[in-house]
This record gives sequence, structure tokens and C-alpha cells, in this order.
Amino acid sequence: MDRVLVCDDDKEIVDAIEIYLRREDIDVVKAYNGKQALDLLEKEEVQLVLLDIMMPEMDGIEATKAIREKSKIPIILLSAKSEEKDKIQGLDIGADDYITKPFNAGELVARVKSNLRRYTSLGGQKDESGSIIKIGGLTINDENKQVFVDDVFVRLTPIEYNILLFLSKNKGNVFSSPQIYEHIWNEKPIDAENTVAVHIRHIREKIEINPREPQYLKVVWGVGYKIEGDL
Amino acid sequence: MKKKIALRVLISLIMHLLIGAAFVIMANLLLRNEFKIEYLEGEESYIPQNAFNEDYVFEDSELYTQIYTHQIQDIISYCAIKNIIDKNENHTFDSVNILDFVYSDSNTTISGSPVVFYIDDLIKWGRGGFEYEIKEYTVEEFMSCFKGSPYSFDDITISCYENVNYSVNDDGQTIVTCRMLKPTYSTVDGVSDLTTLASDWIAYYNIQDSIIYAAEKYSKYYDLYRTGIWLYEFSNTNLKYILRIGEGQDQITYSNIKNGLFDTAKATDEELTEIFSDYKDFIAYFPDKLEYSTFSDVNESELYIYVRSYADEFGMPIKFWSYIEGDYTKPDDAFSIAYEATSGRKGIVYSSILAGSAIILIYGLAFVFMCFTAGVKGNKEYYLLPSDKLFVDIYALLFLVLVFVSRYFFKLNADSGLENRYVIFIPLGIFTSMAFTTFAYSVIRRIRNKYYDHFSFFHMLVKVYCNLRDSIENSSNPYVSALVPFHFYFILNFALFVLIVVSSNTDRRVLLVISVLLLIIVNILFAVREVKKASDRNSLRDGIRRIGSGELEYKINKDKLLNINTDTADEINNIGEGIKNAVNTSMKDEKMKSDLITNVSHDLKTPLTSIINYVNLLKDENITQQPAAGYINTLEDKSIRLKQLLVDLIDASRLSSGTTEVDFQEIRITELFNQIIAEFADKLDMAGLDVIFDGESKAYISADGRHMWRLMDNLLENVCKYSLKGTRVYFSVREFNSVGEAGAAPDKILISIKNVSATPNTVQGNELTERFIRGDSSRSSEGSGLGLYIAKSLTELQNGTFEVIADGDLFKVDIVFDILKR
Repeated sequence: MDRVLVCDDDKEIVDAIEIYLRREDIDVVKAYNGKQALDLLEKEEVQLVLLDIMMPEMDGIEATKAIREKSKIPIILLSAKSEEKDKIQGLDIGADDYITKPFNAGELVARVKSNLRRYTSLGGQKDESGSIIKIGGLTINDENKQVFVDDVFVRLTPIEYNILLFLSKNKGNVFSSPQIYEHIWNEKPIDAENTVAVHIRHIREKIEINPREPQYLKVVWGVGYKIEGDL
Repeated sequence: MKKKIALRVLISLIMHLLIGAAFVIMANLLLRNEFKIEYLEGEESYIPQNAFNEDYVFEDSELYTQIYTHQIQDIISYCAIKNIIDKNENHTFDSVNILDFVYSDSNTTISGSPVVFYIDDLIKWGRGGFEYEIKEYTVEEFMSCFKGSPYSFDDITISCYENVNYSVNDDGQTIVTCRMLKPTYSTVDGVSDLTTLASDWIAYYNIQDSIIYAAEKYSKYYDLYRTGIWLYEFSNTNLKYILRIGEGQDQITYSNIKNGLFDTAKATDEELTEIFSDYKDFIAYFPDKLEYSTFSDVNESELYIYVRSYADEFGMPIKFWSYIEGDYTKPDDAFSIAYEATSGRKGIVYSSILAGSAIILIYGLAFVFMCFTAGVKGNKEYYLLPSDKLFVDIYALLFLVLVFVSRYFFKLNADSGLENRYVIFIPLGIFTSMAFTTFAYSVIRRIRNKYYDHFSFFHMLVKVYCNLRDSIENSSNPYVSALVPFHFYFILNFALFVLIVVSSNTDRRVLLVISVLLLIIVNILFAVREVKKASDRNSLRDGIRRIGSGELEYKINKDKLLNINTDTADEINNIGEGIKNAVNTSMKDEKMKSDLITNVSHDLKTPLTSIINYVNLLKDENITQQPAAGYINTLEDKSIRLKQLLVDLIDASRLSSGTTEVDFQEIRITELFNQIIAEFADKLDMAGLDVIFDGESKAYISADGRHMWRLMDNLLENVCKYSLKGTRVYFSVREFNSVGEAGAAPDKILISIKNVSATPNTVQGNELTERFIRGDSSRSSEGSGLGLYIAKSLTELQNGTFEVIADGDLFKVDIVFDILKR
């Protein structure tokens, strides 16, 4: 059974998270500041750490740095700070994910599971046989036209699949709606640009935990779409 | 310290003495070699000019020619006088008819008998002076005395006579008063009463005048003659001459060749010329025949003028020969004096220059040393002397006085006949050195001590004037500040003008020049100042303008301004500073407010997280029992609303404090619309709204995509929330040209979103974009009231304009961006 260290100075939040995670059969170790979290990590074996940033004694940033000196265990930061720069800072020092408060319990659990899966199972799956594209937790098997997100099968329509495949093969590059349309439909887009946008929204709803804050298929507003390259 | 001062005093003493010595050397160089040569008319001074001429030969020099010419002229004069006074060279004097002597050169017929005097009597008379006696006659006596007078003598005619006065005495008789020469000497015939020689008063008076004239002339001639004898006969002269008057039997020969090899009197002209031509620098001159031969540089025309002026004295044509004895055997004569004075020069000049240079070198070194040590007490410690509190002008004055005193020294030197007379230049040199060094050290001590209080009296005066002027021009009383300078200027000009007129009328040239110069200077100074004032005004105005237009950092450069304007410049600079501070304070306040809001919002989020999660947990309990289930739903809605409110609040405060960053990119409007409409497709469907997209544009704008999304997100949330169900929502994009020229390329893009409100708009369109105001004043429905404000702020942050129009139930948002030129 997976064990997760949850660390927040607000006891109620820790308790609530514990309830949600236990429902998913994830064991929880609780800590209420960074120091405690580090002490517990020494003693207990856990597969993931959920860390609040603003905590007494030792904050989440310091704790993340301390953990990263020793371990590659996934760290998800929890914070009331929703600014872009706070997220970037958190990810830069070595966190794997960043969830802003107030968070949606479902999203939190999904992200925890996603990170757990990736941490526990990725090591063995190294079958890069050309027909399989892996981007983070996203796996596209072009042989049987199947898409998995964190090893969970996602059902896509053929057009959605083709769009995702096209973008994944060119990960990191931004394509505008007309460009995507031309590639997928093989014809000039005439009054059909909107089609691409709708399809992409559907793909996002299927593969992303939070479609409004996508991890994989990102919207570059006013320019186009891309699959994030460096996951 | 005492040792140092003693050393300084010693060095000073040596320096002063050195300069004293230098002065003596200079004086010696300049003055000692001045030599004098005696001529008939007096002495003449010469200063040798040949000091640096290597090839100097006395006989070829200008000086030599000068002396030669002058001596020949002297001899001509001398012989002419001799011809009159001592024709026979036997030192016995002839007698002369003075009337002939006086009138010899005129054709006046002399009436009356000759008046003959011995020449020696006349000379003595002229030397001794003339005495007069006043004689009184009655008219009868006067008439009888001057019988044969052509004039009938009466009261009227008597007044016509010269030198005669008449008056009426107590007895009623007319008395004639005459001023008559006292006959100190009598004529050759023994006549002493001159009246007997005259036929009338006029003739008498003529005789009297003639005697005076003749006596004066003869006595003067005699003096010259004596000098001439001394200079050119008995005394030693190296110039030998023969001067011959007349021809044949009557010819007279004068010469200073006494015991020569030939008889000067008997030799013919040709023989003389031949003899003389053997000698150095001979001259043979026959003025009447215009014959002139010479080996010298003597100019014939100069001699001719001289001969002409003595034509009367000679009475007959003259001939002249001369030469100079080359070995200057007569040591006291003019040539040998000049030769001596000029030939020994070179050594004196060189040794003087050498000594002078050495002195200047030593003095200079000592002076440099003294300058370096002046006022130095120790390491970086300096002292002042009491005399350093005096104005330096006083030293300058002292120096001027010294210059005047030195003139007295020169005079003293010229008058003294001392052998070592130049010694008196020693004190002069010492004084000069003292004055100069005192001045220099004092200035250095002042500079070392940075003591400039009493530096210059003149400078102090100028400063006092400037301060006075500045305080008047800066006076808070406008009458003083405006009228006093104006009237001062006017009166000064007027006074100078008056001075010019007066001085030009009274012919005082120095005063005239000074006052004209003053007038020009005063007016130039005033003009310069006025121009400076005007340019100051310009820079002040420029400063105000720049600060006014928001350049708060701008500072007017005070250094370039007049003193009277620096205060104003300070005030203006302070305005900029003040505005800057005010702006900074308000920025800081806004930032603090924003930070406060952000922090509070963050703090609120933690409990809210618990609320949301526990509400969720409650929901998961599947409570169906009413009204608890309803309460749980309400809690869920409101907690989510609270979350949105906090996000909006943070965004709004960030936007209003200007801390939001913008990352500009090229944004394609159509792409953006497609993306957004795709995002909202479901929501719009749920709200029962039809979307009508109008217009097409390939335009790009420069904007931050995330901000554009947030902006549109807000607007579409509003549309979904507040639109009447079943109505249409219009999106339109239109390019246009802001200048409005027909056919011009579009430079702006208008994005419009129109929808129909479900409830009537009660607030003016633009008020909706103010913070915390919503279209429905009841504030009953959802939304923070910040949506439109955030949208507007984001638009403006990206250099767009945002306008809300609420017209009846029509709700319209117009956003305009600049089209990006690609």
C-alpha cells in the first residue's frame, strides 16, 4: 500500500486529506511542520510527500530542499499562493506538482495518484519501441491506438487521437488551429477553425486532471496549442 | 620652529643682497658706459650700442660719423665767430659800427652818424648786463634834447612815441618820462651820451636797441669762441682742419695745424687737398663750388646747411679741409673717449650677463625653496603671520611706491659724481626683492592656510557690490527690486555722459578717455547681465515645463544661474522633489494596500480550504434528509463563491497597484476567439445562448495571452451569468483606421461583445467597470463585482481601451487594440 506524508500546519486540512486518501487506500503519515516532516521521513517509508508552503518552524520550501538533498520521492506543494511566480519557484526547487488552496479534493487525490503511479511504476516500463510515445504520465501507443494517462486508459475519438498524436510527436511546438486542421483533415480550413478548438477542449477534459489548468495539452492563448515538452 | 624661522630669515637676507648685487650689475651695464662728449653748444651723452656686435669697428660706426659731423659743424661755427671777433687771431679786439653789425644783412639805410664801439666793450657790456635810468623831461627840455625831431611835439603826438610816458605834475606842467639805457661804455670817440648821436627820439631809440642786440650777440659769440678755442685749438683734438675764407689777397686761413710741415696760409687749395687726402677720413669741401670729396661717411648736405647759416659771419665763400689722426694721439678728445668707451665693452657685457644669470639662478632656487617652506609649520601644519591679514592690494601699492622711489634713485645717480655711484642701486634692489618676496610668501601662506578673508581689497569691494546688488534685486519689495537697479543704471550712464561732455569741453583727454571707457564697460556689463537674466528665465521656464510634464527627476542646474535666481531654482527643484515624494508615497500606499489584501486573502484561503473539503466530506455522507441536504448545497455554493471572490480580489488589488507583469506576444484575434468560444461552448449552451460571430480579421495584436484569456473569461462569465435565456450573444471583430482617412490601412481593431441583460441595467455603463459595482444594484446574484474592473484594467495594462455601454437591456463591451504591424 502506498504511503503519503501529509504536512500542513492546519490540522483540519491534514485530517480532511487523510480521509480522502484513505478512501483511495493510501496510507497517510501526518506532520504539522517541515521539521516534523523531515523527522518522519527518516523513520517511515513513504512514496510521496504533500507539503504546505507556509508553515511554522520550517516552511515547505526549506523542507523541499532538504528532502531533495536525499531523495527523489515525489513532492506536491500545497499553497495559498496562487501567483505564477510562486508556482515556478516551487517547481524550480524540486517539487513535482503544485496545488493551490483552496483545492478541490478530487483534483488533489487525482494528482497524488498520478504522481504515485509515475513514481512507483515508471522505473520498469522502458519499452521505447518507436510506436510508444511517453510524455510524463501520458502514454500513447500508436500500435493499438490507445492512450493512457498514469496507466489509466483514456478513450479518445479518432480525430482526438490524431490531434493528440500529432501534437505529441511535435511536443514543445505550438500549432495554430488552422495548422492542426490542415494536418488532421488534410484540407484547407474554411470556417472550420473552431472545430479544432472544440476537439482540443474535449481531449483536455479527458486527459487532464483539471482541464482549466492543463498539464499536458496547453493552450497558448491567441496563438495555438502545444504538448508540454519537458515533462 | 625657531631654527626654521632663523633659516628663512638668513636665506631671505642672502636673497635680498643678491638682488642688490644684480641691480648694481644691471645699472653698471646700462649706465656706466654712458659717456659724454663736449661740443660748442654743450655736452652730449652717448650710450654704446655695440654690446653684442662681434664685428664692431669704431671707425666704421655710426657713432664715429656722428662725432665727426658734429665736430665739423662746430668748427664751421667756431671759425665764423672767430672771423667776427678775432679775425687776426692776435686776441686784440677791433671796433665795430654797431649799426652796420645790426643791419648788415638788410638794405635799411642807416640815418645819422656811425656808432662805433670797441668789441671788447660790447662783450663786457653784454656779459655784465644792461642798466637803465628813468629820465624826466619837461616838454621843452625833451624837444631841445632831441632837436631836429621830424615830429612836432605836443600832447597828442607824444603818446605816439614808443617807450615814452607823460604825466601832468602838480604845477600843471606836462612831464615826459623816458626809460633810457645807462651808457656803461662809451664809443671809440669817447661819446657816452647817446642822445648826441641821435637826431631825434626814434634814432636814439634805434641806437639803444642796436647796442643791446650787438652786446648780447658779441658776448655770446665770445663764449662760443672761448669754448671753440679750448676744444679745437689748444685742447687736444684728433681732428685737423683748415678753413679758408675768400680768395687771393684777402683770403684768411684758419687751422689748428700749427707746426706742420707746410705753411697752412700759403699753400694753394690744390696742395691742401693733396696733402689732406693722404690722411684718414679726409674731407675737402668747397660749398660754393659744390665740390665735396671725402673718405668718411659724413653727409655733405648736413654740412651745407650749417655753412649756409653762417654765410653772413663769413661774408665770403669758404673752403674746408679736414682729417682725423688715426692713432688718437690726443687722449682726451672726443674720438678717443668714444673709442675707449666702446672698445672695452664686450668683456663687461659678457661678465655682467654671466654674473646676472648666476644670481638669478641662485635666487630662483632659493625662492622656490622659500615658497615651498612658506607657512609650513610641520607635517600638514601651517601658520599665518600677522601681516597676512593685510590685503594683497597693499603689497601691490607698496610695489608701485617703490617704482616711484626708484625714479628718484636714478635721478640721484645721474646727479652724483661719485666713482662708485651705482652702489645706491643696492638698497633699491633689496627693497624690490623684499617687496616681491613678502608678497609672494604671503600669498602662498594664505593659500596653504586656505585663508582668503582679506585677500584683495578690490575683490572685497566687488563682492560687497555684488552682495548689495543681489540683495536689492532679490528684495521682496518690488519697488526696490525693480526701480533701484534701473535708476542706478540710468544715473550712472547720465553721470558718465555728463563727465564725457565736461571733459571734452575742458579738453581733459585722460578724463575723456577714462569716462568713455567706463561708459562702454558699464553698458557692456549691464547688457551681459540682462542677457544672462533672460537666459536664466529661459532655463527656469524650461525646468518648470519639464517638471510639469512629469519629468520629476529633472533638476535645474544652479551653477549656471545668477545668484539672484538660485533661490527660485531651488524652489522649482523642490516642487519636482515634492511631487516625486507624493507620487512615491501614494504608490507605496497602493502597494501596501495591495499587499495587505493579498496577504489577508492568502490567510483566508487556508480556513476556506478546510470549509470546502469538509463540506465535500459532508456531501459524500449522502445525507438526503431535508433541509440538511439543502444546507449542504448552499454551503458548497457559497464556499466556491468565496474562493472565486478571493481570486478576484487578489487580481484586482494586483492590477490597481501596478504590480502585474505583462509578457507581450503576438496574438491572433481569430485564434483567440476560437479558443475562448470553444472553452465556453458548454457554458453558453447551458445558459441557452446563441453565439453569433461577426466579422473576420487576420490581424495580430501585441498582448499577453494569459491576460487576454483572463479578460475574455471574465467577460464571458458575465455573459453566461447575466444574459436573458434564449437570446443571442454577438461577437464582432472590426478593423478600422483611427485617423479616419478613407482607404488608409487599418491600424486598430475593435472587439465587441453584445448581449441582452436578464435584469434591467440600473447603472451607467462605465460605472460598471469601477470596483465593487455590479449592474444590478441589489447585489443579489453571484459575482464579485470585480469582473469588469479586472477586464478593464487588464485591457489598459495591454495598451487597449475598454468601454462598457449599457443601453436599455443591451449590454455591450467595446475593446480596442492597436493592430500590430508585421
